[in-house]
Amino acid sequence: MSEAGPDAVLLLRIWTRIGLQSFGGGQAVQLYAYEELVDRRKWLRAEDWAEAWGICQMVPGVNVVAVAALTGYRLAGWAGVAAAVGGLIVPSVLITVLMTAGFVHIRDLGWVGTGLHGLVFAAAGGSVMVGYRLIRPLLGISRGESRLTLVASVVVVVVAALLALGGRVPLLAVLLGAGALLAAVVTLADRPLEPVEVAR
Amino acid sequence: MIDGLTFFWLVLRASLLSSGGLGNLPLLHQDLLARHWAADRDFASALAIGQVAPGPNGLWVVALGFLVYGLPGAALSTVAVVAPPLLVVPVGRLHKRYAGIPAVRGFVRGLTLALAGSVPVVFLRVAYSSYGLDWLGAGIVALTVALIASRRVPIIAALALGATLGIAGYR
Repeated sequence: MSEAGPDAVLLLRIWTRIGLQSFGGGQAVQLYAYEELVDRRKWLRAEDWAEAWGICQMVPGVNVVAVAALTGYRLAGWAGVAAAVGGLIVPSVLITVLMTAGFVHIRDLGWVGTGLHGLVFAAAGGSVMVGYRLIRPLLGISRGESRLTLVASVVVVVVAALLALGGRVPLLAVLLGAGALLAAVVTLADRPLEPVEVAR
Repeated sequence: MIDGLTFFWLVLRASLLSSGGLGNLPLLHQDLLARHWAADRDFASALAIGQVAPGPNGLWVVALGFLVYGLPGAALSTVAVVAPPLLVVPVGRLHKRYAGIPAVRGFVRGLTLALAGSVPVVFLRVAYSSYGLDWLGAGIVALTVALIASRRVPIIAALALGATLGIAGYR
């Protein structure tokens, strides 16, 4: 972090711009925020940025909001959090609401319906890639720990996908069960010298 | 009739147990459909608007809230979706102490893996339930996957191509 601290108003302006520029989602936000905070303003070093992202994987929800909150806090305290998150979210939320309200009025026009039809399938394809890019590095980490962890990780992905396909099992239980299973297995893998026994 | 407090809690719970902007989709889809508070079409429209609108993709929930519950729905969704990532500030302080605990790492990884496996499935189910499946739809999915995997095309361009193919193909 540099000596010349940013004030909250500047943070608000910067994150507003980052939010409004990022049509097309999270990855674009990530890109713009890095360029602005690390490359241009040099408020954060590349290592600070990487560490912030690591921490943000540990908390739930939208990662970019967490990155805005964390970097805002480090640069200007709670005022920085409010400025960064408010700038990122408020204008974008207003535009999203206006777009949705507009959509309600035009959704019966022929090209709107067919365009949306195509867009939904394209976005579904996009979600496949988002999932793939999450799964691959995590399986890599699991493989580095133990064979059991790798097997459990693959089982979690496959079982969660199948149960989501069926749609009958309460997904809350599936998510918590997946977390508990990996918590147990990773804990076991952490003590490689003990004989490994798994209950499930 | 939607009860605002319950709606808020459902969005908040799904977001607390999510990772990334789409992570709350599977749980929210199951919860809202079970109560008949939203239809697959609402999810399809909201997810599409979330892709096109500025800001993080996670704001798709704001579009969903507006579609099913008007302005109160949009406001409640916004708060419920923005609050969980703010936990990063206290967690950031405790990070050094707890991040190394295997059970913590394992839980986060298991949750993320389960979401990464189920989110695409639910997304495809929403698309299928809303529109059915034909060759063009399957082709658009495959094309988008290939374009994004190639990393040569901005995501927004791949999505725009899907919308264009839809307009051209589904008259």
